[in-house]
Amino acid sequence: MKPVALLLLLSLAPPALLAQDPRLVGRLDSATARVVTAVIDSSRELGLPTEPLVQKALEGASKSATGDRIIAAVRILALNLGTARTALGRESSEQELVAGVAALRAGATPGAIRGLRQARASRGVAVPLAVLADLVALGVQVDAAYQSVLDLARTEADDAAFARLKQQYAGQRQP
Amino acid sequence: MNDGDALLVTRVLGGDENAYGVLMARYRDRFARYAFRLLGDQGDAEDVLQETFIRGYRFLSQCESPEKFGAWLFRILVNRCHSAYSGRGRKEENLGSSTVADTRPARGYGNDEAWREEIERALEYLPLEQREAFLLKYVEDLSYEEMEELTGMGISALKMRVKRACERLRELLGEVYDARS
Amino acid sequence: MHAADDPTEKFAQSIGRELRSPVELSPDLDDRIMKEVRRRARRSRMRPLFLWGGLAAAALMAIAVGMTTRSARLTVPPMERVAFGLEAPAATRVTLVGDFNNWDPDATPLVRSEHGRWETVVPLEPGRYQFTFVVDGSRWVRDPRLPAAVGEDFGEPTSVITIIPVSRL
Repeated sequence: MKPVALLLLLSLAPPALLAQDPRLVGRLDSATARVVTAVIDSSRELGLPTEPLVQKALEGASKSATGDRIIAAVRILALNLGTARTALGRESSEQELVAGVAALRAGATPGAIRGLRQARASRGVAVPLAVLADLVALGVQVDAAYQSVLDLARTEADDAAFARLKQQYAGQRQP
Repeated sequence: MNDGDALLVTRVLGGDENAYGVLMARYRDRFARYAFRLLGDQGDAEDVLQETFIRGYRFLSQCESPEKFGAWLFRILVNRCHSAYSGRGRKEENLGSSTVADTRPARGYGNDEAWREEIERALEYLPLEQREAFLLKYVEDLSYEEMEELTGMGISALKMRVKRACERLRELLGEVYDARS
Repeated sequence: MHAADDPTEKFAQSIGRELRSPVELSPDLDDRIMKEVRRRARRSRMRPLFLWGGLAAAALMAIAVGMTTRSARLTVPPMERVAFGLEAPAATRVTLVGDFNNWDPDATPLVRSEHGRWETVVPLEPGRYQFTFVVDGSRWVRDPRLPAAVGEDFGEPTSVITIIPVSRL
């Protein structure tokens, strides 16, 4: 689904009659909780994972963020999950989508994360995508990080190899 | 793409492993040709074929579009070939074209088998990525879009690899080719 | 120039045609592959017997330690015991907040060990988690050994940890 259409759908979801996640009660003010619940329920209707959205709202609550900021963060995350799913395929697991969002936020394009899925046809992509995002966080340029991860994926390497790739960069970064 | 593949995949997933033998027979020769041309060695090619078909069976439930089983399995084959190639510790050598021309013995130009051997030897001088791109384009007859989907590389990068491969092969084989034409 | 007339294109097509000739394979290759396929098929038919036995044992253990999983699944991914630690000799209280404990600042206190190091161990399913330490109830501190979360949403520092199952290493 195109991101714009998803945003529209999320904005128009009717509030108030929807059951709130009990974890949001007492952590968000009622107005924020209503809107966040509507976003979560719309996402559920679209088949997107909702736990990351709940956790994002709770993260905002624990960091004393304003209601507007929490709502914005949850909406953006829902959009990102939709983009990740379009790129990775409808059968993607929650872990793959969460890692896909991390990779997108690190600067990878939807085409690039789709390329990782295709390079690793017979295995999941949660670990390669997570490692891609982590390499960028460690200071590697996103293009170089993507190429390293893609090259490894194309050799049908197991998850341990990706863990070692990250450790190599992390080791280089130690003072 | 083969309509019958979806039915066979369903049967395999339902417990009929003999149906997998039928799927294998459909793709074995084409895959063998690709693996052998890429790796240049029958033993290596057979190892890769075996790994590919066994992985295809193990992970069959992850094939999202059973009617595109062939393309899905081909992608596994391409990746296994990469693994096999890296595992051999091959270094990509770019020999000067004059060096190659001097060391190759003259062959009977009209001899088809000899000509094919020349081509196979010339392929070995291409770096893996160029060899792969050339085979996918001119032997497997894929479009650039299909190649992009298969390899994860962008179309412009693929076109560059094909162009370089053609130029290199032309350098290596041009004389013999012109004499045969 | 039409592609078909381009001499390089014609050359490449000609080479491609030659390479399309079939290659020789060992006569027993098909048998070898199908033997392995049948072996795996036999093994997977036996697996449910062991799975049910294992599930019963796992269910008893889960009740005994009071662990809860997020949803009832037939196959439960193994939990990894993950150690978290922070050097904070001047702190009087350090807790852990993250995706795995609903960002509840009271849910996971760390224990102070000698030399001012605060530690705890958390059982986590494989996955990617954001978390941070809260020092003395108000100071948010990242784990200096781990990557920072990219694109921080709320202006406070957050770390990321990726758990890969031990069985896959």
